[in-house]
Amino acid sequence: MAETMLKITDLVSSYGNIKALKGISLEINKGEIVSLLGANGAGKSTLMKSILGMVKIESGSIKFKDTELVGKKSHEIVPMGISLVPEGRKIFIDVSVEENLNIGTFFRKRPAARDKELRDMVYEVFPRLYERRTQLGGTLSGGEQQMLAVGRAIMSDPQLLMLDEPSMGLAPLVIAEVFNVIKKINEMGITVLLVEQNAKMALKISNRAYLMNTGQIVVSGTGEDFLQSDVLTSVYLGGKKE
Amino acid sequence: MLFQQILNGLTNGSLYALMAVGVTMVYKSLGMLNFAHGDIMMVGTFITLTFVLMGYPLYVGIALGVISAAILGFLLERAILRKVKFTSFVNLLIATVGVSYVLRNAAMVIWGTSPQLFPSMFPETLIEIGNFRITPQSIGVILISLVIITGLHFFFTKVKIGKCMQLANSDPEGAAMMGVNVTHMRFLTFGISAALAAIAGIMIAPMTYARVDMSATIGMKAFAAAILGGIGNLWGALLGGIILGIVEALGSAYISTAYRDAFSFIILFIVLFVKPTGLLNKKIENKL
Repeated sequence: MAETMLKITDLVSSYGNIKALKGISLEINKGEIVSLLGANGAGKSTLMKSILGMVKIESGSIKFKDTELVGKKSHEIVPMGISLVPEGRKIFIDVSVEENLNIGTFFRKRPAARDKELRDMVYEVFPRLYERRTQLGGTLSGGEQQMLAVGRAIMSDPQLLMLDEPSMGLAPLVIAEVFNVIKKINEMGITVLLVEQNAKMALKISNRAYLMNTGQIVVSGTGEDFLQSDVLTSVYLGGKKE
Repeated sequence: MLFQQILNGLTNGSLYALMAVGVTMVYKSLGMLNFAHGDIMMVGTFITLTFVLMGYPLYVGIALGVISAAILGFLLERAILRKVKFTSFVNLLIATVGVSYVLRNAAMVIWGTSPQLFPSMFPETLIEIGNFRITPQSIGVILISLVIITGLHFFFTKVKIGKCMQLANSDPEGAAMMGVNVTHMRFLTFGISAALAAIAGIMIAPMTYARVDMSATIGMKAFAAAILGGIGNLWGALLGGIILGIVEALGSAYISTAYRDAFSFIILFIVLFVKPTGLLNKKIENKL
């Protein structure tokens, strides 16, 4: 049995008065790519933000290896080795590409040599970022900004990388490229939690997946299981099989 | 005469700039002008004066005045604005205006309303070059302001904690996701802004006397300077402050001293009419 990286038990989170997560339990093992699927409003992004300590948690537990994350703030959680590439990318538009990448290194304590190693790795995976390293973040195209956001997350040397809708708003060719990169990142030994509307593409690279609906987990299984069953179509099209 | 007036303008202008920098920093963090900025300046100035009158050396008084102002800035953010920020924009506006009134009235009770002499940190002797006279005060004020603003620029662009402050102010959620402690950064922004205001007040008071109503006139000019240069922009605040100072000096010398305070706003209206974003800002921000 693989080593557990993240174990969430009966997690309940709320946004204001709305309960966004109603008792979520899931596990991510070291080295896996795990997908979170589900329609809009299912609570996928909330789950990621909960892991990062950005949402009010009512009850339940989030264990990262042996550390309880519930009650910790994001500035305490990020340095432990958890990074989020948020939906809509959120790169810093008025600083250069290189500086954006540097920001990723701010909150992880490690030798300076590791920074260089990671930077070389990012530039190797995204040669385009190297070409544009002196440009301002805001001048990049949507696809390049996504790569910058992913690159910045890699710079923080995460053990667990969470990606929220990395393909959103991108052209099909660029999407394929993004998924290739996710696979590459995983091969570097980084565990990945992926939220994706593009369920088919996500499942193809995932070891396992969880399907969420209105704040709960409906089904879980391997990527293969999902691709072969009709549970996806039924949930995305609204009707849930009893 | 002209050169002399420009020098006077530069002196006042660099003080407006120092105030405007604080306005602009807090604006970026809060999304709104801090109407208590001038009052924090005034309180810092009077605390310095109080310690000096108690017999402490001027430099001790200055240090204590600046530190008190910074603490006042911290408290303003921590105790009031942080909680109000999540309710509504109007509440936030009223909150800073309210703090402004409380500080001003408290100051009137404690220190009275009459202007008081304030010691200068610079020697009084005039430096004469031909028929041209410079006071050490002018040179000192201009140099200190420029050094502080340049230092801040360095701090915000080269020092990690300064960069984090910038990130936290421009995109709080994104910064938090990167691991920036946004709460601390906001706290620090208010503290630095308030400390700068106190330093400005301490340099203004020897020229204008320490008076409780300095908070209103200087505070408004700081807003005007920050908006003129482009709100949220550090160099804009510097440029705006200096333009205001020079326009004011030339206006009072060649037109009429009666309209001294009006010149700043006339130039502000003209610039906003031509370039609504202020001189150095490119696009209109969504914040008010």
